[in-house]
Amino acid sequence: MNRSLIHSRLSFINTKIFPGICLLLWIAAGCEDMMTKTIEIDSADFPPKLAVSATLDTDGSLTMSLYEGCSVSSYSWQRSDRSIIANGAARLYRDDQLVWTLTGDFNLSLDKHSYSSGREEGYGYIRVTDIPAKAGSAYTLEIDMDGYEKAVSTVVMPADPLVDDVFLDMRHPVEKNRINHIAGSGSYWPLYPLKCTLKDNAGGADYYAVQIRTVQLSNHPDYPAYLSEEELGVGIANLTLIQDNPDYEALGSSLGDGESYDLYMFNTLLISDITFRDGSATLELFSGFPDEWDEWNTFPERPSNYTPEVYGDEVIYSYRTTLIVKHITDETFKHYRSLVLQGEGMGFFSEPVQIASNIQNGYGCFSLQNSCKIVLKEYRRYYYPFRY
Amino acid sequence: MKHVTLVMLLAIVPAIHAFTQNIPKKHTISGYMKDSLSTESLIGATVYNKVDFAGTSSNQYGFYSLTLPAGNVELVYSHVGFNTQIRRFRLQRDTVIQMNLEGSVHLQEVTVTASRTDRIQERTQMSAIHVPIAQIKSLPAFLGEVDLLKSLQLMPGIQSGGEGSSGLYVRGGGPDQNLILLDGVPVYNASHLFGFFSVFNADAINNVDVLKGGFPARYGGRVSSVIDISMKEGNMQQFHGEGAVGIVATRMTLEGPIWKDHTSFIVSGRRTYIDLLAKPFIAMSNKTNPGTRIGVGYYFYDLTAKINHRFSAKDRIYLSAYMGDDKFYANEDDTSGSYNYKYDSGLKWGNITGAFRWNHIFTPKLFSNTTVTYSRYRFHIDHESWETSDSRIEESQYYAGHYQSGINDWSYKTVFDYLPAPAHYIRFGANVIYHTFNPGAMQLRENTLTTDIGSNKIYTYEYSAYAEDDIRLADRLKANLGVHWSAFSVRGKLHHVWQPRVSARYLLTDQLSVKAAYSRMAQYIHLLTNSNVGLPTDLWVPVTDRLKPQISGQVALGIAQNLREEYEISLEGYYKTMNNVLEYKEGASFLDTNGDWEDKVLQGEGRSYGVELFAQKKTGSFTGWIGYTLSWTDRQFDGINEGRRFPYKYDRRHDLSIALMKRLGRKIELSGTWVFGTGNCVSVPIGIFKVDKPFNNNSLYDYYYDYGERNSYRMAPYHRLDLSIAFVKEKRWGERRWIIGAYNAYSRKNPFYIDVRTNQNGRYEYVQYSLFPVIPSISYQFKF
Repeated sequence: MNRSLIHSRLSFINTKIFPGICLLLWIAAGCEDMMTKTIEIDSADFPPKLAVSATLDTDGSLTMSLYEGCSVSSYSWQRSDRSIIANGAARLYRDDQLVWTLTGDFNLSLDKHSYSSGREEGYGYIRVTDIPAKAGSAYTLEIDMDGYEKAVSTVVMPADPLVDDVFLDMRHPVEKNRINHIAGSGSYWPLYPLKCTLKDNAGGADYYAVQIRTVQLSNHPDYPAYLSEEELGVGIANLTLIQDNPDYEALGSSLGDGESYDLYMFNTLLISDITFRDGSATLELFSGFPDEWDEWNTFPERPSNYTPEVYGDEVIYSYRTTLIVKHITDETFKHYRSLVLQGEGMGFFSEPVQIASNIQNGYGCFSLQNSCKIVLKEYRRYYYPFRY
Repeated sequence: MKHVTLVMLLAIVPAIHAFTQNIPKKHTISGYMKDSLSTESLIGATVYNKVDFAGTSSNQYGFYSLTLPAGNVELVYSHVGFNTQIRRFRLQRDTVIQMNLEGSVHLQEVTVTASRTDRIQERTQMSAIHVPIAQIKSLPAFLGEVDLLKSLQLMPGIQSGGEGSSGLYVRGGGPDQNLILLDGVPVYNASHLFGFFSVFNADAINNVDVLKGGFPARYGGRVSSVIDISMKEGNMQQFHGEGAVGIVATRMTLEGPIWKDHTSFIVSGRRTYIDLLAKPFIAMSNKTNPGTRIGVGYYFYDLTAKINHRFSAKDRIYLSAYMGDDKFYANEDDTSGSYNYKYDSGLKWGNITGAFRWNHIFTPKLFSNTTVTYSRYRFHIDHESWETSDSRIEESQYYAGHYQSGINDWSYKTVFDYLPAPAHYIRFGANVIYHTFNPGAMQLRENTLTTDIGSNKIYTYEYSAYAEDDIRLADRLKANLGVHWSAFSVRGKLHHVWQPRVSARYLLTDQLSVKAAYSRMAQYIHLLTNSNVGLPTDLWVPVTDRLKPQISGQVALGIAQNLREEYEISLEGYYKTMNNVLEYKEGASFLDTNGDWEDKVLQGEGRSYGVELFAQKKTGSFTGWIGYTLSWTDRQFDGINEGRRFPYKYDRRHDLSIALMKRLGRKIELSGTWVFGTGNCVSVPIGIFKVDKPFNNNSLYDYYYDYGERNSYRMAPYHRLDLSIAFVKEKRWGERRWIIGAYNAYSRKNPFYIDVRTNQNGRYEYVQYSLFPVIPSISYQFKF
């Protein structure tokens, strides 16, 4: 093709018409929704795996939930609602000795072992209360379900937690401030400072989970306890770490400004090993007590002329507030930290977080906890069921 | 005895005198080399003596110095794109020759490319790129705007991050590891519109040099590359101007003498007008909703200015400045009901730089440059809203948020060029920089309550000194030996690093050479960047008492060949290690202003190695190049991916660029580029599962993603074809061009981001987002 031909053909471009065509093409390109497409990712196609949430405590309790994890491509809402976990066996070994086993259909009730009534959406939830658990022993959990690769985890029970100098100061309640403010109401939770010292076991990595729980019990069958542990958790405690170590690492919920319901639930402060710079860390917690904020508690005073024949049996509600310190493993801490980070992520603007797991061939975590419970306060409220 | 001594003295003195008379005396020829038409300094132009082939090249200011034995000399002055000039004379004393080279009208008219010292195989410097501005301007332009940094991305070893990413990734390094200098002033954010355009207006640029390795000692502060951009100085003889009107932006450059042969100026500006074009359409939309007014827009501008004054043959001063901003704004005003609200939001980022330079020639062999500079980069987000109710005034609410981050630098530098003999080119100097870092501060206001969140400013000093010598060790062996020392003072702690630099070239034949280099580089500032996309919100932060400087060591080996004075081919291999590179921790986000930024980052190591092939045709009516890179790059951090090594996001196994320019006579110029790159490595969710939330009696659970190994998924390859055609016409007043082009000519859906979503059947699926289809453009350019 000679040059003059090229020039003559290209000269068309050097006219006013061609730019107009370009402009139309540009507008047309922008109108079409061309910029997204569905793609397949081969590497994401794998068989489903077991997702295990298991906890063994030195108080003898073993709790376990089993779910299913699958590839994103095979996941759907319908699948998430389906009961997946079916026949199989779960075994727990202590130092290679079998201490507990459960076989059968995990979706059916099992009368050999207690189980929680909290079954939702068909997943298996197991709770056992007689497992011997002691510090220093190696526990291996094996879960072998039909259709899934066997999930295994081996963890050593941490040493006893080192807790000292527990002091609840009932004389100096917390002043009204952001910590105990109830958002939107102008009210304040009554809170009291609680201090305790946690120590670092020499030669090891120490991680702690600290909670304050209150239980309400009743002595009268006609007037059972009406506050569940969840409700008692509301406004109970704001757990913070008082120290001057800039390297400390703690995760947990706090009372904050009372906005988020979730934050109240089972307030737990998790403390990592790097907090223990000089071998110990002092915690300052703030604890409230339900009888002081219980707005439903409008029980009348006991009359001076009380007799059972006239006023009926006393109803005694007992409250026990306990400081629970659990010595946990680094795997538990990392697992929890990764759950928090991924859950609070800002999607596109956050770095991806891989959930830490100590389950071979599965997801989740087998957590071992060596617990110590210190009763902080026990008190009673008396109720007299008048007949009006 | 006395007589003997006297006789000996009487014999020795004349003998010494006679002996010294026979040592040829040396004299120095020095001066400036300039473009005869534009009077711009010619950087890297060469001069050599044909008698003994001793030669040198001009420095960054066009100054050259060559010491030769007295006697007949035949000096050849040359530079690519210019006609060679020869001067023959008898050298009897130090001589000053100001050389003005005449540029060739068209590149194909240059019959001899360059002298020996200008050819690729002759140069000691390896891993270097020099692309003439004229060639950059002839490449296809995106939306009619020629872009300097986009042109550099066509070179082997230099990658873009992909669409939406503004940084350059050089030999596996990150976007903060490039020292981008504009007239010696560092520029911290060199992009407009999320990487679409660089802040550099090509009409105001004189020269661009890029180093990817083999760094001479005079450079420091970044570990991966140096991009040294010199602005034009302004024509000292005549007024000239050029400009362009395109689809989205207009630019204009004016230059000329203020005092002929003494003082000149150049001013260059550019602004987009997408917001202005959209305003009528927005106004029409507002009319259909009475009571509601919406405004939204985006624009950027830059303004560059320089004044250059020559006091004498020995003294010159320069004053240059750059200012540029990007702004995105949105506002809404609704007064249609009893409940009124109004909000104003804006996103703004930009640079300001300024430089004052003084060049002084102490002797014909000693040249100095003293520079005082200022550089500021700032990013901020503003939001204000007002809510009022006609019936309940007491419930009026006011909210405001202001987020700002940035960096300020004041710098003083003095450097010397000393050329004692043709076999030595010695450079030495020192520099001090005062940095102020503002790594993200937020202020929130709710009615009368104000809360300040975020990091405090950090004040630091950075010092450096260097010495280097470019030595001709033998006829075929040249080396550049030097050392760079730098230090950084922050929060009472002083970091310092010695950085040796060695490079050598051995001529196997006149056309073929082998080169090798080793350089150790240190960097005291980092850019925290989101791994998903590069944004102007990326933070510049310093090393601190807790964070160490980044240090790299790079070894490079290569061969370079010149073929028939028309083609240059180079093949290089490199291996680079990087220590103390920074990365956000898992889950961290720049949007989260809780806590200190230092707690959100980790330091780790990186490595990169590969091979680069570059072949270029520099002269003739048909020019262009092919660049291919085969490379690997990875990272390792103790707190990411459980400490296992993982591919860097920009681990692009293959990278190929082809650029071709063809002239059809004097009136038509065709150009096209095609780029291909292996896709970026990203983390996508591969699994989904639910687990209980711990410590809650197992009655609560949630769903979580399994991401597998970090960056384990490689996106689809990136490739793109850009085309352009220019119609040139000479006019009485100058020259005009119509340029028509197409970006992404075959509308490839290059991947930008991958996400997971639920389809209408409730199933999860992966979706790939792309940014740009084919984008045609047209622009009108003029020059007078």
